[in-house]
Amino acid sequence: MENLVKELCSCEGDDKVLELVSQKLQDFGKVTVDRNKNIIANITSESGKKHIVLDAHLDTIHLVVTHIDDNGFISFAASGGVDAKYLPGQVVKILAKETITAIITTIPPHASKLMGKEKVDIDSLYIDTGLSSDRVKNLVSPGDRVIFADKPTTLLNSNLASPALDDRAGIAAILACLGKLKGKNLPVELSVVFSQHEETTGGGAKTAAFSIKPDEAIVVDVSFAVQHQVQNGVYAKLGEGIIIGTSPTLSPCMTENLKQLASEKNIPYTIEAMGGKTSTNADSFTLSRNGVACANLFIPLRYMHSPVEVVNLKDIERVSELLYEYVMNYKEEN
Amino acid sequence: MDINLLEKYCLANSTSGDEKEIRSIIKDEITAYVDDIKTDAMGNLIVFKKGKERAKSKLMLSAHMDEVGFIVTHITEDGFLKFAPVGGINTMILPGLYVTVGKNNISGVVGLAPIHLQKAEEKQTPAQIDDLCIDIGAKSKEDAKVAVSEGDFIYFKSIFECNSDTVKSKAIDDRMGCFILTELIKQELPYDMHFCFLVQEEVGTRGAHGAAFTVEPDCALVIDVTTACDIPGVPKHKQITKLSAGATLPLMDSSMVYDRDFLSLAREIANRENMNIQFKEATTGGTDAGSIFLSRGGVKTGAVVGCARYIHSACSLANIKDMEAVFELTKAMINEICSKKWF
Repeated sequence: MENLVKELCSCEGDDKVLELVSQKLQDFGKVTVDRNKNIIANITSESGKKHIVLDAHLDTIHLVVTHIDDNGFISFAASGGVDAKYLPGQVVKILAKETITAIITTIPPHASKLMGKEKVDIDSLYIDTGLSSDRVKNLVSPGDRVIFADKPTTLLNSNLASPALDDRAGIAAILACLGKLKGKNLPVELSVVFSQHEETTGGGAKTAAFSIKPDEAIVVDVSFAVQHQVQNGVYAKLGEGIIIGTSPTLSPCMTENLKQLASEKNIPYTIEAMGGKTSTNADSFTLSRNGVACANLFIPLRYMHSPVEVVNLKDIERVSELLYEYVMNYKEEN
Repeated sequence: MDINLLEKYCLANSTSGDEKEIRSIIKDEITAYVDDIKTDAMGNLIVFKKGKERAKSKLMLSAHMDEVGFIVTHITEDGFLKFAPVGGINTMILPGLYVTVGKNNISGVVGLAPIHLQKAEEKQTPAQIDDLCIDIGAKSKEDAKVAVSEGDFIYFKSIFECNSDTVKSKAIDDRMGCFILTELIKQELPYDMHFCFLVQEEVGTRGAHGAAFTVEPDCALVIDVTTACDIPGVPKHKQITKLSAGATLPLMDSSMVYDRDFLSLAREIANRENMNIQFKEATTGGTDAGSIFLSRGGVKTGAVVGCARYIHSACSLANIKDMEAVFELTKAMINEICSKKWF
């Protein structure tokens, strides 16, 4: 699991990610990449059975080049909910004609009276490659993606820190589940989608849901874990179990089944109760065509939307187990 | 210039008071080229190298071995590490750091509350070091204490990359200075001179006191790295130094007024040899020169420094050509300084 997660998080660039993940999925079923670059795989297709889709999102938060000035400094915008406080001084990679390592600027104390007291504003930050302006303009274009340069780092107790764990951890959980299902007779028709645009418009899941026409969808994402600044009893602890989401917008039946199965199979879990929309792809799936029954499984994660996201590998393993059990124990009357 | 050696120097983990690793690397590198090498009580490396002639003025060249970092101050009940800076750190760069803690090289990260959960007020203000902690993945205080302790030093995890004359790495301040001194030591020198690789510069230029007292030089030249703020958003008059503008001559800072004769000498040499030089256009900061010039009855002290963007953070950015310019100017200056009596 550790190697799989590290591989998924370290992969740089849209094309390389599509290639890597498609390759891994090819072991399990027929893979297609649709018009929105969602990766869709049909694992088994038997008519007459309920059609379940497992979803995790492929896209991650990142930055986008907007402008290059005459000194070669690059202005940028955020794609997805990037917390600007993480940006000053951060080492990034610009996925341009070449991959260029660069540093996001930070203004030292003497040059700004308000240093340390004012809000960090993306508009006053720039990406610094150190290269000449001509060289930068040759290699980099507006629209080029910029990602955090940090690579996955092992912490104590099977914890792993890395950018992009949201939602490569979910992708890993689904791939591991497929590994367990391989060669078995499934009581359902099973599809998998690794969707795009979750962090921005939710549009990937919307169009994938339409194409796949599932009866049920289990959306695997990450959610908040207890960390130093997030102590209240509401959130899960890293390494102590997965999170089953519950909400007025999710299927009470699926949610209940997942809870029962988790208890039966000794998979520790906590509940995250949401008052309305889940802010995951489930929100798109539930509105597709005649409607789709949905459930959420979450992997507890610290420091969401940062270069230092942390998950526990055991929790990812647990999600993959629960997904496996859900599929294998599926009964129509559920 | 041997960039692989610069990489080795920059990536060594040695903060103020914990200079063991870099000292050992430097010692291994230079011992074959020097006539005397000692480690003093503070941990400074005091080196003497004979030249072709005896110097008319006794010269001490220095660079500091320590880098800025952090120290573990407290381990919380749930296993997070509270920490304080060692040296002046730009606190804006703390969120999102990957670090290495202590002798066991334990990895850790510095994170914030998820943006989705931050209150409006929290979103507006940068994080202060007191609110932050390092997460090593420990379950509890007891669990953390197996791996780390209060008092452990904490280092930036860093890349080292050289691309088109640009170097990106931690600790360019002042491993670049140590590197330049090393390159000089490996050459045949015209005059005898002393080289000091100093400790604890970042916590108040402390190693310099003992080293200068021991060497008892007439003259000293400090090779350090200062800040370049030639980035958008900083008005031109506050940029201090610029990359690719050559070796930097500090004029005055909070520690001292740099020797005017040596300043004139540097300008003269630069003019004569068509070297690029620039001046440090601020009087902030300080170097080991501030401690050296006050040693015993006084030392005639100057400095030639390199410059880098984002010093005192996880990744600085410097230009190789500037580093070469510092080397060339220093080499020319030591010739002239040693060749005469200055007072």
